[in-house]
Amino acid sequence: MISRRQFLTVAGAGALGIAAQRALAVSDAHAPTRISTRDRAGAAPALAGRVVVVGGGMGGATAARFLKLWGGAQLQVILIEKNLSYTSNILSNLVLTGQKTIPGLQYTYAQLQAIGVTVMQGEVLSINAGPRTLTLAGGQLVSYDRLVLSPGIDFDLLPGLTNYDDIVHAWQAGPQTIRLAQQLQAMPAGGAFVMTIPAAPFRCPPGPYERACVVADYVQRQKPGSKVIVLDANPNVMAERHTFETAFNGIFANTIEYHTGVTINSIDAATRTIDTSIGAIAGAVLNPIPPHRAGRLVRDNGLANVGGRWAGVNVLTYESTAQPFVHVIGDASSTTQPKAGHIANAEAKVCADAILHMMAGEPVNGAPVTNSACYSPITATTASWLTAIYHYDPISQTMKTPGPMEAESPSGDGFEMMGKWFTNLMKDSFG
Amino acid sequence: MRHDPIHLNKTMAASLVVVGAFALLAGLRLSPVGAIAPSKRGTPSASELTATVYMPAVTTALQRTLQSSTASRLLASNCFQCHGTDGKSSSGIDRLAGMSASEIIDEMQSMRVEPIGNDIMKAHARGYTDAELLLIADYFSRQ
Repeated sequence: MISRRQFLTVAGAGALGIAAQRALAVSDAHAPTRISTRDRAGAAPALAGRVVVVGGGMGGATAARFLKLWGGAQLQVILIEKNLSYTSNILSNLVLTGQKTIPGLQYTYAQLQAIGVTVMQGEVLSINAGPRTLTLAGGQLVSYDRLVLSPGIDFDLLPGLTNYDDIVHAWQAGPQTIRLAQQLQAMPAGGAFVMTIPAAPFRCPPGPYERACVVADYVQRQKPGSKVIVLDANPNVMAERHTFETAFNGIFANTIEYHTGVTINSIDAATRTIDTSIGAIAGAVLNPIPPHRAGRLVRDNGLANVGGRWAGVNVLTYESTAQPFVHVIGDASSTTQPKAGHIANAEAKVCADAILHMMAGEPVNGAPVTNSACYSPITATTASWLTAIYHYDPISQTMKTPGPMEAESPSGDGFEMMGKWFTNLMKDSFG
Repeated sequence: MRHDPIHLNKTMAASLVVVGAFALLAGLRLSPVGAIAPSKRGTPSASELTATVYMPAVTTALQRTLQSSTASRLLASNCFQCHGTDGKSSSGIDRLAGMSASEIIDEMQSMRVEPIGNDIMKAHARGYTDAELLLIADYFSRQ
């Protein structure tokens, strides 16, 4: 096995270095694993090279942060993001009830810059996989040794709608969330809030059910006689089934009407009516959550090789199964793990660790572990939680869990813990 | 479930840490389980899979995680989301940095046999093998 010193010498030779690095990685395939004392001593490897991360959400920010923290001073980490700040989807259902504000859920990239991540505000137009460059909207080219994409999701346009300006999904926290909060506040007592849930997979599996609960709790207090009508394309509640079924049939039994297996034919914005497989349903407020697909960068660059919607990845490295040197993490990738911010953070760390080993020509960790954990508000003062731990299964080459576990019941302690969890999660992701 | 049936007492824990540390220091590779080479995307060959020799749970898991020099850090990073980066919590959730390894292992092992109720850690603790707990505890004890 070639030593690190030898490798760095080779890598320093430019284009030849890249070829040598590839050859090295292949030649290392059956070499004995070298276990260094680096991790024990906590020292960072002296890696040189450039990793570009595109998309500054939960996955991308975490990837940039840990590439820098673990990769050391000589590794150049560039984060390209089109917005100046990130708005958290987590807890954004509480904007609907007035308990949170959108500015209160925003995170800048200042702390990433402070540790040495180069943050570029810009939009990537295309990935040029051969020469390993990105073309930005301004025409600039940015080269990479390895690329991490964390572009999140885009939404299908539901039949009958031409945009989501008036009828909003609010499934990407921001202006739509504010709009939906305004619509809910303006709803007359006795009105119906009608929401739809797309077939899985969708972002944040407990999220739609959480929204139904916090809106139901709100209308029970503020809009007596109102209904929350939930039209789910799925055969049943897709996460925390015990928690949500108990709430739907218990404290919200007189407010929430939950229908499963519902398909949407079309939406009429003018009459605020949804034509569905169980008939036409009108509401004072319509909140359809459309089917999702991976962000544009994944789809436009030949990376959406799972159903034309999602990026297939190797979960040891999150490298695309369609394109070498390109990694896809978070909601845009297709894995057995949920699409959610907490686990995108975990995926980002596995990806960062793998990239550092790959750039050093070392074998990657063959037994990654990730975890999902999430608190869901059920009322204005209570929350439940779920958690799942995923281990790599070498036979199926997927991340496997014995199954998510959930809280026995929503509680005030859970609501308090939710705030503490969120604080640390955002700090671990954005610094 | 991946719960190891073996109850790990403190002596066993200490000896495994010693074995692990020795292996790390000596650069030894204890297991024939192959680390996956980075450039080899796609399906591992049949020989790679059949060459895998599974030993008793604790040993095997320990050996597997030893395949990468940064395995304990990566494993421990699963705790960072709630307990802060490197266990340095800033929100009132327990700080793990600087706890002794035996304290962490003792707590995790108690939590995973207690009824879950509304305590997320009692559920979460059930998800890691004994060998993984050792590596995680060792990491935080060094922060």
